[in-house]
Formats: sequence, structure tokens, C-alpha cells
Amino acid sequence: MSFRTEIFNLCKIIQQNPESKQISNFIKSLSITVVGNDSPSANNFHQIAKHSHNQFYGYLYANDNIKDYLDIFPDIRSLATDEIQLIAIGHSTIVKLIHGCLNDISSKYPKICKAMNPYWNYKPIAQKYEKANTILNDDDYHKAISEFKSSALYQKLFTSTTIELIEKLPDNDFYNILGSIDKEINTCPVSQIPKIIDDYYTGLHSNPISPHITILATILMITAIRKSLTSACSLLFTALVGNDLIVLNNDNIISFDNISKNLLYSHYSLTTTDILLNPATNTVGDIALIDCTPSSNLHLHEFGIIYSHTANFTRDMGDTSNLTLVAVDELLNPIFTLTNNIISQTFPDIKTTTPQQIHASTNIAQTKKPKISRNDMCPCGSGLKYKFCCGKTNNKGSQE
Amino acid sequence: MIETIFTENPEDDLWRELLQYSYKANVTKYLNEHSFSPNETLINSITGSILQAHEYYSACKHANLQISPLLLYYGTTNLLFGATALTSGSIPVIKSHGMNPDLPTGKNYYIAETNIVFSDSERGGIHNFLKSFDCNEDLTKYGTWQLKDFISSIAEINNDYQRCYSEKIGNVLMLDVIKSQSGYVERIYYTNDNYSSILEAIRRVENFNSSYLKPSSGHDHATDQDFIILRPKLNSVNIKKKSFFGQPYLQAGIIKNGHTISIPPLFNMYISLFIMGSLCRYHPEIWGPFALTDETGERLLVEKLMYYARRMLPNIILNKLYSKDMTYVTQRYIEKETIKFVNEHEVKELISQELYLRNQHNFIDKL
Repeated sequence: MSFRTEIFNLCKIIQQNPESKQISNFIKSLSITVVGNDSPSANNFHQIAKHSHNQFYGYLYANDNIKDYLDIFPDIRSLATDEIQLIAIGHSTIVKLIHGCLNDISSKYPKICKAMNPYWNYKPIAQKYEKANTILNDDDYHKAISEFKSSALYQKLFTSTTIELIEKLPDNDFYNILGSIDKEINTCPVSQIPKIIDDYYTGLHSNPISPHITILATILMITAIRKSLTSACSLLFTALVGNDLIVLNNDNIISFDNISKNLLYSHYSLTTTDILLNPATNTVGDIALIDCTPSSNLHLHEFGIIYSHTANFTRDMGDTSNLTLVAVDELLNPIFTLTNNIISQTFPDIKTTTPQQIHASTNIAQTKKPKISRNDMCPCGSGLKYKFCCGKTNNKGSQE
Repeated sequence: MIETIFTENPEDDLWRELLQYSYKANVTKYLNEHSFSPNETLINSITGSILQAHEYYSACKHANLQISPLLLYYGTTNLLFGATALTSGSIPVIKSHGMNPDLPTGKNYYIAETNIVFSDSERGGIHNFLKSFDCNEDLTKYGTWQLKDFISSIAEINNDYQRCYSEKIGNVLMLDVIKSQSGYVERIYYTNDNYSSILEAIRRVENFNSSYLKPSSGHDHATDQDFIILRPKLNSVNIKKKSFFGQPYLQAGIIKNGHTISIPPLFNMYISLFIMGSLCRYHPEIWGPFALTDETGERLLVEKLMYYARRMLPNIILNKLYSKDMTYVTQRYIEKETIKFVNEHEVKELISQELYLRNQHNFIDKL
């Protein structure tokens, strides 16, 4: 059994639960409410709540801050109490998995624990939502949490010599590096290698391996574990809202535009038809299964996260979607090629490294807070532009 | 892959190849190569069949429509008999044609409304020949057929069939293949009148669902025509057939007794020739006036069918003997030009790809 297998088991339990049917019916009805104008009011909720792996958080955040958005989306409506309760149950079902996976380290390494939370960069929402009932019970979560904690990546991280040093890093340094890694990995095209990974691989060939590389490797593991939990949340969300897992097979794939592999991702770019053409849905961030036989001597069975989705509506060639996906491995980790390399490395013991040396090594990464333009998407994940979100009250800012 | 034979006179050269098997040495060699035991009777049967077939075809080329279908039917029967003996290594045991014409009652019907009933699936000629061409369909189970069923399934006279009998479509769906940077699609053009008929015909194409995605619709702005878009599934079996001119098409099956039956193109023509030949031979009171004074235009369709049958049937049978796909054309040989002129955008793309690949190799080398 593996973490991935246990997550799929959880999804099956959710899908069989009648309470999840209530949630999915409500979410689907939210998308088609019409209040007599061009833009249905619920679509405004979608725009605010658009997160790739937990829209429940988005709905709750938007509901609590409706007055901030009324000038932008005048038709937005506040959710009723019973509607809020349904969404809170969905949200709580997802976050309970995260808390279970990270509970062992939350007291000993709170900073690292926070950095491994898929919502580490999000603005906080009311605590009552996080404590709502869940669809799953404690026994249901147990196996998934055990598999998560016994995984090679988790074990490598928490038996490393650097974890205590990382925990002691100044907050600014730590979050700057984390934010830099995220930004480089998230903004770099999947067919290319981020510079930070390039530097890491170059550093691996030095003898001895420098403290900087060792620290970078540790932070990459933290990033990878967060991505693994993010993928798990995406699947649980899919199950809760009643969506089917997107399956790409010989019956809907038209062609493969590119199959390639680099140090970070196994990457698929393909053209498909039928199932992904609804302009109201955004599949970016969803997990899809590629199960097809592109040629007589190749069979693919890969789970992937949809990285980009372009719908082409053309009368000449027919309607198609171009998708880019990165493969996720058993741990649902999209950068497993990198982490497998890290897991196999033996890093030096740098416990005796001085704080000055640590500070100097972390300065090699970006230490300046990346400048956020007013028209950039807000880093808190709201889906709005920075000038309409955290930029409005820029004393709060984001944690990036 | 299609092998193209360039020749000034395709029909003559085609027969020159077939007539190789009117020589005992070539027949013996073929039988030995295919692990059959040659014997005098078998060899004489094969060589005689091929020689007779050639005589019938030569006669048919210059004969009047009064008898040409009969001649062509006999010639094709000889050809099929010889080919079956050659490919099976034994003389087929045939007691009858395996099919019987049946005239419809009443007057003033089209020739295409002549009926036919199949019989003797073991010793009938048609079933023996079908089996030698890897079709094990037992046509005796399906009751009465019409000549129209077979004519409507011949791609080369598809347009003539629709015009002559005022039919919306036949059993042939001609495909227009489009290859562009956006992808590869096949189109079937339609009008408002025949759209539903085309969709119904698609449902009758054997193995369509396992070979193609669900059809969608599109519009050609250049010609202001609507079309159905067909996309082959990944790694699917190619179910398209090729017409005499090379245009691909899908063949819709014929529904009889609740079954959908697809008959190979060769036998659509062969059975049509039998029906027309039978009318020649046994019903001159029908065929004579038709050949002389037809007023419906059906005669033109029959003449066109005769031309394509005479041209195509020997080619199809020769392909079976050689296990190849050959076509004889009068076009002169053209050198293949592999020099490609690219534009600036394509050059930039090529450079980017090369740099990326070299970059990737550097990383992998470092591991």
C-alpha cells in the first residue's frame, strides 16, 4: 500500500457518503444561480474562490470578506448559515488530513510544519470552520496518515542533520528561500529547469557538499512534502464536490504533442476532446489519469497534475483542449524525480555550522522579498489582482 | 504501403503480371514458395483459368453492353478460381455460382431493383471465393438482396448512384483528409438533407466506435460547407478503404435480418456482375431493351461500373497473389524532393528545441 493508494481509498469512502452528495449538489447549484444579469452572481464566488486544490477555503474566505469585494463584484451574495455549514464540513474534511499528517512535528518544528501545509501562504479564516465536523472519521484517516509518515521522503527529512538548523533559521530567511523556490518552480515552464535546481545539481558535484546545498536540499524536501499534500487535497476536493477523476485515454486523447522528462517532471502535453471544454471550469491543478496506448509498444498509466489548459473552439478542426500535465508518483508528489535524487544522497553533518555560515549560505538564494506588481495575481491565492486584495491594505501584505 | 507502378498502359501491364501464372514454371514456383505440393491437374487448372480470364476480359473490352457484363463475370470467375487454387494449393470444389437472381414483379423497375438470393455456402462459388479473401460471412442467412445493395457500396460510382436513383447517400462515406499544424482530421461533407442519413450510415460502419472518437461538426468558411469531423483514436486499427483514385472512404454495412454485414469491395462488384450477367443470359427481354433504349440514365451508371470493374478487379486479385498493395498508373515518375524551405518562425523553433535538448543532456550527464 502507499500514500497514493490510501488517498484514493479515502476518496471512495467520501463518494459513498450521502453527506458528500449534499455538498456536491450545493456546490454545483452555486455555479448556475442567475440573478437576472449577464454574470450569474455565483460566478463571482467562483472567481474569488478559485483555488486549485481547496475551493472550500476560498468560499469561506470570500463569504467572510464580502464587503471588501462588493465594489468589484456587486452581485455577490452572502452564503446562508446552512450553506456555510456544508462548505465548512468539506473544508474541515480536507484540513483534518493535513493536521493528522503534520501533528507529530507541529510542536517540535512549528515553522517547518507550517511550511509543509498546503495553505501556508493563505490568509487565515475563522477557526470555527477548521473545527467543523468531517465526513470521514478518525479511523478512515489513520492508514493514509501512517503511509504518509512512513514514506521515504518524510523519514529522510526528519532524520536529516539539517532539520534543526532549518527550524532555527530567521523567519525572513526561511520564508524568503521557500518563497523563492516556490516562485521559481511554479513560474518556470515544465519543459525547462528552474535556476535554483540547476544551482543545486551543480553544487552536488563539489566535494565536500557545501552547507548551502545541504540546506537547499532540505528545503526542497519540505517543498516536495507540501506538494504531495496539495495533490492529496486536490483529490479529496474532487471527491467531495462529486466530480469524477479526469481520465484521459484512447477514447478522448487525440494526440500527444510532447512526452518528455527532465530533472523535475515527467511531462505530457496532449490534445484531447469532449470532457474538458466547459469554459466555466478550470482544470488547472486537478489530478488526471492518463491511461492509454499511444502506440503499439507503449502503454501509459500515469497520474498527473494539470499544469495548463487551453480550450480551442474552432469550426475548422473541431473543439479541442490542449493540456499540459506533470506526472505524480506514488506519494502524489509532482517533483519526485528531484526528491528521489535527494533521498539517495548522503549529505554532510552540518550541525556544527555557525549561524554566520548559515546566514551567508542562505544569502546566496534570494533574500530580498520579491517585488509584487499591483497587477500581479495576489500571492495569498485569492485569485484577485494584488491591487484588489492584499495590496488594498498593504500593511498586512502576504507572507511570501 | 502502396507500391506504385508507372506505366504507359496500366491495363496491359497488369495483365502481363497476371499472365505470368499462365506459365507452368511460375505456377510451380509459387506453389513451392508457399509450401504447397504442385501436381499436373492443379497446375493446368490454374494456368487454364488465367488464360481464359484474359480472353474474356479482352473480349469484354470491345464488346457491346448487350453481353459485356456476362463476359466480365465469366472472366472474373475464372480469375477468382485460378487465384483461389493458387493461394490455397488445391482446386476449389464448386458446384454452382452460389447465387440466384430473382426478378421483381411488375414492370418498369430499375435494373438495380433485381433481387438475388444466396445458396450453398459450402459448394457455392461466391462463398468459396469469399473465404479465399478472408471473409467468412455466410450470405445464405440473410434472405433476399437487391443489386442496389451492392452498387450502393461501390465507392467509384457513389455520386452516380446517388444521382441516378435520387438517393441521399449510398453505403460509402467519402473522406476528406486534412493535415495541418493543428492536427489531423477526416471530414465528411454534408447538407441539411443528408445529415441524418450520414450519421445513420456511420453507425453501420464496422468497428467505427473502436477506431474513431465521437464525431463532431464543423464548418468550412472557405467553401461555406458543413462537415462532420472524424478523429481516429490513439493506436486504433485503420478501417478506411481506398478508392481507385486513392481517396479514403468508410464502408457502411448493410442491415439484413438485424445483422450488419460488410462485404469486401471486390465482391460488391463481382456480385453486381453476376446479376447483370444473369439478366444478359437468361432475360434478354429485359436486358436487350435496357442496353438499347434506356431512358432513365441507369445505363450510364452500368457502363461506368463495367469500366471500373474491368480495371480494378484484376488489380485487386493480383495484390492478393503478391500480398502487396500495388497500383498501376500512367503518371510519370517524379523524384522525391526532401529539401524543405523553412520560414523564420520554424528556424527559431528548431534552434530552441536543439538548445533545450543540449541543456537537458548536460544535466543528465552531471548526475
